[in-house]
Parts: sequence; structure tokens; C-alpha cells
Amino acid sequence: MKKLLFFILAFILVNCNGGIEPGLQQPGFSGTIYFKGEWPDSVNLTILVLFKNELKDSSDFSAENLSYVSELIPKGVKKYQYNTLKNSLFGKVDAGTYDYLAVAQSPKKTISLSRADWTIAGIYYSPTDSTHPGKVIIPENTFVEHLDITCDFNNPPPQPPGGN
Amino acid sequence: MVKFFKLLSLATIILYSQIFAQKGTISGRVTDNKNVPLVGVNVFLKDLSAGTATNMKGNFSLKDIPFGKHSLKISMVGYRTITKNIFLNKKILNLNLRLTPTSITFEDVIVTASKHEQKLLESPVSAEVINPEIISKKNFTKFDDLLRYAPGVNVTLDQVSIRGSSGYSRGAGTRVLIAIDGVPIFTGDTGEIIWELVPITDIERVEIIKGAASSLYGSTAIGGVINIITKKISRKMLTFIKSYVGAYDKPRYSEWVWSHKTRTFNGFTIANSNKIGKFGYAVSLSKIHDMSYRQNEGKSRFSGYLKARYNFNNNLNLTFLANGFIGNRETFNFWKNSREALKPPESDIGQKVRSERSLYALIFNDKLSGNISLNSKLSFYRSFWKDESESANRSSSNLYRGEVQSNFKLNENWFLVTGAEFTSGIVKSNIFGKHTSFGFAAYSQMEYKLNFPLKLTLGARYDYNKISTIKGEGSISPKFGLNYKLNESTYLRANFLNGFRAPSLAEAFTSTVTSGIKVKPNPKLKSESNYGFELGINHSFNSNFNIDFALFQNEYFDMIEPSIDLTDGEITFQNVTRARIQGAEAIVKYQIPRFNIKTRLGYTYLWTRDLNKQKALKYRPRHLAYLQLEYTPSIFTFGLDFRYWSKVEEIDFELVELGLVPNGDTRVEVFVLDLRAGVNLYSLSVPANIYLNLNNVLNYNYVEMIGNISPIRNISLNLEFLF
Repeated sequence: MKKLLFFILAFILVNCNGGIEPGLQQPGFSGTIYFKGEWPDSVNLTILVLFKNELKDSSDFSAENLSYVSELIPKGVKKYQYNTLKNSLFGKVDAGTYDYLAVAQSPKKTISLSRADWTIAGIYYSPTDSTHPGKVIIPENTFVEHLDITCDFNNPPPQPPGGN
Repeated sequence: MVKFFKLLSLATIILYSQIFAQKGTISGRVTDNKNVPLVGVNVFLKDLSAGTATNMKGNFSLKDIPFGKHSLKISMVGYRTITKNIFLNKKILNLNLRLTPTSITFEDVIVTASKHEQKLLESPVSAEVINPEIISKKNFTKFDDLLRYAPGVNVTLDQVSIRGSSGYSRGAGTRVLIAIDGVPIFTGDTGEIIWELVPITDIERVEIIKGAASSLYGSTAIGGVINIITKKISRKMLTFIKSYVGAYDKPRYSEWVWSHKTRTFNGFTIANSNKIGKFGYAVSLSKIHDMSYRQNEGKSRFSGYLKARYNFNNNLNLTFLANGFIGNRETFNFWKNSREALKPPESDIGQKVRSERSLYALIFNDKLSGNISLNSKLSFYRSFWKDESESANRSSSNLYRGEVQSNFKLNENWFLVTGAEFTSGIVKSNIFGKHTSFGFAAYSQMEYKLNFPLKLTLGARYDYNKISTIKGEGSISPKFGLNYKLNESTYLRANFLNGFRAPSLAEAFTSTVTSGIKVKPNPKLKSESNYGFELGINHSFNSNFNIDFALFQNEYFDMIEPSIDLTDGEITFQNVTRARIQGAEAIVKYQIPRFNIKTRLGYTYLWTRDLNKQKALKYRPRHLAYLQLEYTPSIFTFGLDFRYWSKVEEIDFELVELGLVPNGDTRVEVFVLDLRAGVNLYSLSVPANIYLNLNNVLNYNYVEMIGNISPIRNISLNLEFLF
């Protein structure tokens, strides 16, 4: 019996690690999109899009370059909180550097990959430079927060090439 | 010579008449085998039906006792009862009495297995008795915590399962009947057990019946019965005060830290019991507060308990039981994700529930003769809860129950238990709707003792249940059991059992949304049923070494389980499963009196199968093991409790796949190690016990239900006074 008890106690100490661990953080990012001014009546779709490379040409508005598309942002809202781990319509954000994060709007009722269908309503800028689109840097096992974007309908941002 | 005899006779008559005319006092002290005074020992003069209890110094006094021969019975739970014949022939007779702890061979008497007193060893079913000392020693504040340490029992969040009978059904229904003094305490709406209702400091002992007991207890006893026997009313004024404080440690991982405050818990209980003439009472009031180790899970409650008894005479008494609480509890459904395991999703923050539950019962006992007794119970369980968040869900239910039972000892060999009962319920709720329920049952059980010595038990119960619009169903639950005493140290038992369970109102009619999970009603739900058998043996190698072994199998039909309708992603309760539960259980009790060491080891192997899907049943571990080790040198006590549950194979994978519980498939085997120490100060003339508990010493993180980390390491100090 003593041996059995000793065996049990030894079993506990040898086998018992810490149990459930937090696990590695899935890479991603979150933030808040603020909408200023009146929403255009023509808008039917509003989404957050993330492109790997800068949009220098209309051909950059492609599935190969597109890394993430959020769920549809409800029309008329003043504020929308997003989280790439939760609100994904398309794509999964891996660790890396991304050149262009923006809020895109379309009068169409279905999502298309034609650059002409879309207007950029707001762009992510880094806190230190509001003249060029900010780079989104996601380190390994890191979730980046507070990537906020302001969409001012009265003062739209520069539009990438290929639009109407 | 004739004259001499006349004188002698006269002298004898005078002497005896003087003796019987005089009265004296029997006093004394009762200690244990270490000379530590025992408090609350029952000292009873059998011939006069007079008695008292020892005080904080272990002393007792029985006054105005007529001179002559008397039979004195001294008893206390956990100690061997002694009966002593005494002869009182002086004003004060002083006695020093010593009680020895009961040996680990089963000397316990149980009432739950057959609805009358019988020796545990003579029961045809597996049963377990938990004595109340462990509640103080481990500072259990909620009854389900106690059950986590009973062999063969596992608890998933707040749902209890005996030998794999239950998984997790989100508080709807139970397959284990829980009763206080034989009065069932499932709610009228959800049919669940509200553990906070159990008066944890007023427990005399707990009896656990393993296996279907529907033949005596009906619907909810399909997996077994847990009967909580409350403390006897003290013959002398006795006051009990308990106070405890505790704190949770920091989470093991920095990612899980969500508060920089120390998360504490505390509680206070005051209880008093006394007997005045034919009337006796026991009353207690408690308050608890727990900040919890998880965000949005704080809770507090006030509870009260009253047991009042009037003895019309030695054979007739009426007991009134009132028990209830008012509580507020924040709601933690699932974690945000495994990296923020102690936080709920943002949308759940602020959710809380207010509950008011109360149980009232009248219990009437009448020993009509030496062979016939009558027991009647009338009870009313009122349950109200309200979700004080956006959903504003609320439910109130009233459940009325009545039972009449007679025990008839025909002769030394035959014993008959017969009874009938009814239940009637009314529910008003915005998530269950407005419904009524009704049930009627009649049962009978015959026991026959043969001389060799074999005891046969044969019984059956008929139940009829009607729930709202669901078609009423009748069910017959037969039972056959036998117990064979092979020799003084070996008992064999076998039984064939049949059980059933009617769906609860919540299972049939719930319509709500919680944490994004939608539950829809299924008014076509019907009763589930099972049959099973068990073979067991109990053998004592000596008075210090006992082993109990059992093999069991249960077949379930139309098992009610929550499942996800893949067409709309909503949860509904369905008769989906044809299931089989097989297993084996061994319980070893061993003590070394020379070193004041006691140990208990329990192991249960469960093979649970959903025969339709050919998978294990959800939330049933395959291996459950328990170890309890206690060392009591002098006035001190040191203890170690360990439990191991293997990793559950099947969970609600659908909740994970639908993204409702992020990382919800994260689960591990359970290793929980608790340590405790205590000191009994009675021998130092201080009427107090102090206990220190360190729970989950290894700060091991595990889940019983997905997305719910169980309590992390915590420490508590518990102080008890009895005077």
C-alpha cells in the first residue's frame, strides 16, 4: 500500500505540467473605423480591405494582392470596431508587412474585383505620417491593436489609380 | 425461620423502595482514543428515553435519574457506538467514557437505498456515505465541490454525473436526484439542481446511490440518488459560528492576468440548535461573497435554513423544513479565447442573474407500531431568477410535491416498503413560456431475508408524467437485487435496475439566445429510459483494510442530449442517442491506526458510447481516480486530496466550429492536488477548530466544460466555534 501511494504521488509530480496554456497568439489586428459626415446614398457595400502591396496600378486591385476583406460594415454607422480574427469575410492575416489598409465602398450589391466599382472612403495612416498610406506591420505571434481609420465623406482621401 | 424470612423480605422491600424513590445524577466526560474531549456526543438513557449531549469540554450531565439499573447509549457520527449498563445507587455517578473511531469496514447505516434504515453492506446497490467532517476540513462552500471528491462521481461545471450518467446540458434537467432529508430539490422550470440551496453547514451525512433508482425515486433518479441528511436537532443549546476568508493566486500566465486586485472570497455562518420540551429547532444564517478569479463571475448570497420538530410522543413527530437563499451572480458563459481565458467576450460583460430560491417541507413520521411506520412529506419549491442584462430573461416556477410512504416489517424475514407520490408544477417564463406539469407515482418494494444469509429485493414503480402540451407518458421501473453475506468479511451484491426520465420543461420549451448561442424548443421530446445491472463485492482483509469492487453496465434509449441543428446552427434538445455505459469501479480504504493515518483510493473506468455515432458520450472522462490521505497526530490534522480525470474525448465540437467558443477544443486531463491542515482546540478548552486549505496547489489549468477554466490555486482560512 505504501508503495502504491508513493507510485501515485510520483505519478502526479511527473505527469502534471501546467495544464492548459494560453497558446500562441494568432497574428492579426484590430481597430476602430470612424465615419464623419453623411453617408452617400449610392453606397451599397462598405468593407475594410488589406493589400500586400501598394496600389500603383489598377491591376494591383487583384485577388493575389488582396490579403483580407472584412465583413460588410453596416450602412449609416458612425463607428465600427473591427477585428481580423473575428470579422473576416475573406482571407487570414499572417505575420508580415502590408502596404495598404483602407475602407472601400461600392454602389454594387455584390463584391467584385473590378477597381472601377470601388471608392476609397478612408485610408490607414501611421500616427507619425498622414501624407502616405501607413504600413501595417504584424510581427510573428502578435496581435496589433488600434489601427484606427477615419472616413470623412466631406474630405475623401487620394484615390488609387484605376477608379472612375 | 419464617419470622426471619419475613423480616428479610420487609428489609428488602424497604431498601428497594428507598432506592427507587431516590434520584441521582449521571455525569461524565467523553473523549476519543487520544483523550481529546468530544463535543456533541449523544448520551441517551434507552430505558427512560432521556438524553443529552456533551458540551465543549466533553462533559455531560443527566439529572433526576431514578436509582436503579439503566442502559446508557453513547453515540457520535464517525465513532463506534457504545452501550453501557449502569447501576445508579448514589447521588452522583461519574463516568469517563472513551469512543473509538469506526473502523473502515462499513458500519454505516443508510436510508436512501431502500427508503428505510439498512446496513450499507447489506444494500444490493453500490452506495457511498460521506460524513460531514470533510466539509469543515476542506472548507467546502458549495455542495457540488464536495461531490467532486466522491469516487465514481464527476461534475461538469454544475451538473453532476454518477458513473457517466450525465454530460453537460446547460442546466436543463438532471439524471441524478438530489434530495434534502428525502425531499427532492430539482426546480420546476429547468429541472436542475441549485447547489446553493443545500445548507452545507447543516449536513449530518451524505448518501450516494450509484445506478438507476427510478424504482423508488422516479424520473430524475435514472443515474442515481444523492440524499443529504441534515443534522439532528441538539438536545442542549448549541451554537455554531463559522467564518472564512480566502484569496485566489495570480494566474499562471501573464496573458491571463486581467485584474491587479487580489481576488478574495469570504463567508460567515451562524447556527443555533436547541430542544425545549417537545419542540426542537436548528436554524442557520449564512452570507458568502466571492470576487472570483474570472472577470464577470463575482457572486454573493444570503441563505437561511430552519428545521423545527415537534415530538407529539416517542412515536410521532412533525418536522418543518425551510431553506432558501437570495443571490446575485455575474455570468461567465465561455472565455474570450484561450489567450484571454479568464475573461468573457466583451458582449457578456455586465451580464448577471439574480436568484431567489426557497424550499419548504413538512415531514410527518408516525411509528404506528413496532412493525409499521408511516412517513409523509409535503413540499413546495419556489424558484425565481432574472437575468439583469439586456436579454431580461426571467423565470418563476412553483413545484408542489407530496409523498406517503409506509414501512411494514412483516416478520424477521419480510420487509415491505410502499408509497405513492404526486408532483404539480407551474412555470411562467419568457424563455420557457407558461406551462404546467403533473406527475403521479406509486411504488412498492419487498425485501426477503433467507437464512444462509441471502437478502432478495424486488420492487417496481409506476410513474405518469404530463408536461404541458407534450403527451402524457406512463412508465414502469422494476428492480431486482440481491445481497449475499459470504462470510463475516465478504459481501456480494447484484442488481438489475430499470430507470426513466421525463424531459424537463426547459429541455422541451427553451427559446433564448445566450452569448450568441440560440436555443430553440422541441415540444416533441419524449422520456428517455435505461436498464442496467451491477455486480459488486466488498471484502475486508482486516479492520483496517477494505476493498469494494463493482462492474456495471447501463443501456440508454432515447437519451436526451443537446445537439446543434446544422440547418440553422441552433441548439435543441433531442432524443438522439442510443447509448451504452459500461465500467468498473474499485474503492480501497486503508488505515494505519498506530500512525493515525487514513487513506481512501477510488478508481472508476468508464466506457461510454453513443451507439448511433459510435463515439464516446460528451463530457465523460474514461478514467476517474481519487486519493485522500489524512494524518491526525494529536490535536492536528493534515490532509491531501488528489483527483485525476482523463481528458474527455467528446465535447460540443459544433460550438467550436461555428466560432462561438474560440479555442474551445482546448482541453487536458485533470490533475488537482489540494492540501489542508487543521487544529482542534477543544482539548485546550477553546471551543474552536481552525483549518487552512490550499487548493489546486500545482495551479494546474483545466476545463470541465469547454471555454471555462476551473478554479486556479487558492488559499483559505476557516475558523469554527461550537459552544
